Amino acid sequence: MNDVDSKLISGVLGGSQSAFQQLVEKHQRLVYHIVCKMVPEAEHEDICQDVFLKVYRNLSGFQQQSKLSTWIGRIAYNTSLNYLEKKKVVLYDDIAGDGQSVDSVAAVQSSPEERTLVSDIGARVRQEIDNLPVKYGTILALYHLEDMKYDEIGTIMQLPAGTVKSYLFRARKMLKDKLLLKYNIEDICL
Amino acid sequence: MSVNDHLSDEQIQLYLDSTAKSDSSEIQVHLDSCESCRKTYLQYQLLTRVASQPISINLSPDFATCVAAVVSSSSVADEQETLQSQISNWLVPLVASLGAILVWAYFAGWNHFWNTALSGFLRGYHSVTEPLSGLSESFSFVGDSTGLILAAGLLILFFGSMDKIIRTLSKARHINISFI
Ligand SMILES: [Zn+2]
Repeated sequence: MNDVDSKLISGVLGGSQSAFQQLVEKHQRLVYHIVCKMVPEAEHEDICQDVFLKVYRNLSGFQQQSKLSTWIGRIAYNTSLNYLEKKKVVLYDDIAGDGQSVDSVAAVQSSPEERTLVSDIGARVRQEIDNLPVKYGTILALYHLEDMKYDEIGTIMQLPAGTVKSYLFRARKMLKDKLLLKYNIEDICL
Repeated sequence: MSVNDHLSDEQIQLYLDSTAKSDSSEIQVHLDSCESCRKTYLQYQLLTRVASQPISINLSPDFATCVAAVVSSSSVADEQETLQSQISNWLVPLVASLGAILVWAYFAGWNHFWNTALSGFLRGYHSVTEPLSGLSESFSFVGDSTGLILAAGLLILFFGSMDKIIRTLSKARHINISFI
């Protein structure tokens, strides 16, 4: 664990409010990246706050051999999971995501009006990323936005590193296939 | 790998993710010569680029300040609660013990109270301190008042523990009732 995190932890455990504020500032981006992939927008701020309250309450039990960021990430992931379970949201539509037939994807093909609406290629891809199943979206965010390694993502999501890798590849393939079905190939590979 | 064997999605993604592209020259040669795989590669490249673009963090600008404030106010509340529970743990038996002593003393008469109860404790105290007779004699006045304090302390402890005993008994009764 790095020195900055060690100092922050001892500051927080010593009762420093400003140390905790710095800890939140340092890790709020990671927490947001996880929460925003799993929880509806209206709940983002509340869930993020909930995550940091849990971090505060459990910090004395944190094993400093691991990275603080992955520990906080895990709390964020579990808190979001609990929220979804309470709301009875179907999370792991692995089958729906992975095994989704071409027909079902084709059924949601966009109309010509929609195509003109989502004119920007980046926006189209972004929209499809947001529509990915929760688990795939989270892995994609942690890998590409947080530059995390497979084992770090695995620690957060309680998955083996190999599974994380295969889910990541699957997510990107799913994304590519959906986009190819919805839009012209020429549009996508510009 | 011949030019006719197209690259798999996994190979293309691995190639895209790998930082040491020179190690994958075989794949590069194929991509250079195969239009179809190059197209797939470019599609993945686009996806990766978009997925890596930072997203806006839609939290209040003072999010960290607010969370820190919530935490500090809740820890103050926790401390107050602990203090309150400590006071209520000790205050009730203490007041009860003092009350019991006063009631007993009132009905038994102060003189009787002094002669029977406290002198009993004092005698007990003297029997303990008797072996140190030299010291006991020269500090006889101190000995008596210390004995008095000791006696009062023992009484408080006794009535204080009565409270705990009653609580334990009532808990045990609850258990019995639940068994029945
Ligand atoms: Zn090819």
